[in-house]
Amino acid sequence: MIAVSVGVATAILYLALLFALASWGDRQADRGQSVIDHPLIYTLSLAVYFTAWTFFGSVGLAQGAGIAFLPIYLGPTIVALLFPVLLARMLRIARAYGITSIADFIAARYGKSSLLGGLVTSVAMIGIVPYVSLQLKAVASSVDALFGPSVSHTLAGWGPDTALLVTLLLALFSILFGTRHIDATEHHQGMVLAIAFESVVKLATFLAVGAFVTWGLYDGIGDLVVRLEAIGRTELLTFAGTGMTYLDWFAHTLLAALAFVALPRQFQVAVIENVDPDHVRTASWLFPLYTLVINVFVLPVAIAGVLSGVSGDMTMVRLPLAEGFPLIAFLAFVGGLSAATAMVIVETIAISTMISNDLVMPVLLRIERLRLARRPDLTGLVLAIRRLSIFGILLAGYAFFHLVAEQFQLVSIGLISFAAVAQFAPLILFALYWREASRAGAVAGLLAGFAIWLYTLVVPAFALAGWLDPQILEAGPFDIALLRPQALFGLEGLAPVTHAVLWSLGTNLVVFVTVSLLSRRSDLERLQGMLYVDVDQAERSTRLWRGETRVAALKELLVRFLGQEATAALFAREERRRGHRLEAGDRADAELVQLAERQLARAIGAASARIVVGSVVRGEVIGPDALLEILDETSQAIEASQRLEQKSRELERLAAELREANERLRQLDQLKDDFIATVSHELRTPLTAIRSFSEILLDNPDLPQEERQRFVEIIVHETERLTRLIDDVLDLSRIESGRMEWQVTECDLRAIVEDAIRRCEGLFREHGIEVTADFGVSRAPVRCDRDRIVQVLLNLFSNAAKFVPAGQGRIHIELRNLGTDYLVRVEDNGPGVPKEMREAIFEKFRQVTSALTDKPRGSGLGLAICREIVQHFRGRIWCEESRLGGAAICFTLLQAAAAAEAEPRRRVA
Amino acid sequence: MNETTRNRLVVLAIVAALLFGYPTFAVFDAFGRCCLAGALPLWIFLAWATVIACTFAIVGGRTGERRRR
Repeated sequence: MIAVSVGVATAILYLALLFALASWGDRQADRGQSVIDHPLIYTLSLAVYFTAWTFFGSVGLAQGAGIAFLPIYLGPTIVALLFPVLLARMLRIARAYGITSIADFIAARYGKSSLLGGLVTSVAMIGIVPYVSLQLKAVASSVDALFGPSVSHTLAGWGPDTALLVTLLLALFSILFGTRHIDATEHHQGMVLAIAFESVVKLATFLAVGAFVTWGLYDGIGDLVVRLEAIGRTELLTFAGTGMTYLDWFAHTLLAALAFVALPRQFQVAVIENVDPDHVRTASWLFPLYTLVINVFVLPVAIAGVLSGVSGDMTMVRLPLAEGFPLIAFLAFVGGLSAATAMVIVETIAISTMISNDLVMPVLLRIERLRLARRPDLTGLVLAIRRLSIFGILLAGYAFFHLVAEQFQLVSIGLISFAAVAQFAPLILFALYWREASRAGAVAGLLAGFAIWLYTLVVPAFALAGWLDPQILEAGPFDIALLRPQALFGLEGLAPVTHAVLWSLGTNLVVFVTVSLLSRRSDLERLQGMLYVDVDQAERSTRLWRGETRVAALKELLVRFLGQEATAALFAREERRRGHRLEAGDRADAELVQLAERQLARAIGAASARIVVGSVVRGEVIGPDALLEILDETSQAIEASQRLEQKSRELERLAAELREANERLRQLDQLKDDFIATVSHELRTPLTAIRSFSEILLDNPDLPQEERQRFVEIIVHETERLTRLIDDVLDLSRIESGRMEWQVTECDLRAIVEDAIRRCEGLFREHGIEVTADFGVSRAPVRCDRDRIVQVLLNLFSNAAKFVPAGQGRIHIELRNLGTDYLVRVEDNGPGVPKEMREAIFEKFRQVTSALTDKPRGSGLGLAICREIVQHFRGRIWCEESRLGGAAICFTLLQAAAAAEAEPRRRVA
Repeated sequence: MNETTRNRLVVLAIVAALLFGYPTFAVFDAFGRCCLAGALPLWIFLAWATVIACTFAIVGGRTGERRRR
């Protein structure tokens, strides 16, 4: 057994260590060095969620109900995944509007309503008392378990019990660190550091105790499961062992998720104490990881307790003690103390801020007789209210512990608080995503949900504690069975918490939505709704204040609440930002009024700030007309911006077109250069030959007759080649430039093909080529320039004749009807055209060379001219493999009837 | 954080809610009763770890996104 003195000394030393750590953190912060600007610290501060409930209560619950403890941790895990969506938005809003607490967050959204702020604070205050009492009970019970029952009730024989001592110590610590500054948005860096440290302590101690029990007392998890099977208690590892229905499981998960969003202390650490919104991303996976790790040993310890015959919430302490390991039990005590103190400190600081900013100050400021707005310094008053509130909450928790909570399991007490704060969740979520949510709806929904919570959870707790007639649970008030608190309107068969959650949250939601839809929202509510829902846009703009006051009046007001030094620093910063002095007699513009209101909101809350600013600003509330005017101006600006955007897009499109045209011109220029270079080359070759042979003839008059004859023939041949080339170039140039005169008539394509074959008979015979023709039609009327189509055919025939093998050449000509077109196909048994060249041969000066035809023959323009002619008559020309083994050049021409039909359309186009 | 990442997280939250709820539970509970004692808690902790790993992959750790930017 550990000596009492050692226990007390350790507890005091532990709190002193936290105190020292927090002081150091605050001193560093005063020097401008943030000790909490790290995602790990931020995540550990979020772990304030794990209280004595987790440390002691989960094991106690698991002993009787297996995995029933898990939904309380799965809910926050699911919410943590949504941190970058949900929490990031809340952070933006809190930063933009100087939010100081969850009550302030809700009140500011619904028209900066003092009523709603006060209501949220009251509900939080009442709802959280059982939770605080849970911590006190846990600490007292752990002392009881560790040092013996007599110690917990009367320590050292001087009267106050341990729970009261702990209460007083925690109150002192919370007051020292939570109410140092009046600016509630100023981060409590020391406190956050201490909370993060406590999260490390509770995790480490839980893991140490868990590992010791699992591997020190037993041979691991497998051994525990086998022994559990041996005593026939494996139902603890099944869903049946939880004693829950799936609906209960869902309700507990949902409750935990909503409470995690709405618990004042979670809001405090997650939103108010956040120094860098980027930390939220890390927390979205690190917080669930912490949750998983701290829960890993809950079941093993619970099973070990069952096996050793140790049960109840204090198993973590009693089990090692029973096995003769008091130091391990002491470790568990320290972990539990750590979990409880962290929760109490943060929760009381958060709620005391709410009490001062949203409950007491708005009321005091409205009491004219007090003339608070005219008092020179109010900082002392605000701090005094906060300190008293911390003290009051802890005393209320202590009272609840003695009057009611002693008879309940830790988990049951915690769930009562969860169900109370979960009533804020609809108000928060609608605040973020539903513009039409109204103040009346929020007030009505919250009141309805809270009333049902009181009736379905608190009344039964009081009845079970003997403060109310227990008969009310069985028969209902005035024997009206329909009003039984745990079977409201006959809804039976549900666990009390599930029943209460379904009724309270369901009623809250229905009333909230219905009243919001039916009520009329004030101008300020609409404005605030817009600012919250469209926070991304609102952050950048919106100056919707019309009022008139002087700089001096604002300054005087700020001095009263923030003090001389802070006000002077604020104005100095603002003057630096503006680049000019703010003279006392100057008219304060909307921006300055808003700055003052924001700063005041940080100290006394949005609702109170609005009241005090209103006292010095001859304000003009923005009515619907003014709002419409503003909206009109805004929509005009948006319209102008859209027009500009459209023009910009048009310019971009034109620029792209110009770039494209420029590129085309560049390519054409290149083609022209290539064409000139090629033509010059083609002209030069025959000219060189002609000139050389002419010079030989001129210089050698004595040449033999045969030689002379041969040279003249060469000159004639080269001249003909030159003429052909020039004709081709001219033809192509005329076609491409559109200067070609086309003699279009209706003619018979079959007759044209036959005519062309006849013209080439000599050529075919000369090369020994066997020509066959297959006409699939007796007549093929087309509209074309007969001579040009003959030119195409002659070109194709001479090409074929050029490439077929000498003496064994075969050419096959075919004419077919394709419906709207006629197809002409000229095939040969030459070397053919490689696949990759079949497109290219229709380009200018592109000829195929091969082993058989080592040197290209012809001008290289023939097929290019053919393509231009065929395309002019809306035909198509291409090259494919011939059935004779060589190449097949095919072209189509539109039939006369189809051409006549298409012609008017073409002209219109 | 871009829109795609946010959407992925929302989808993951929905999937996680399904993983931790009926009917997945019913299946592992039945398996735990007939064949392997402790299958249900084992499944819950494995699913939990998987969800954490997926979140880590989506948000890219502490400075992942900032580094990418």
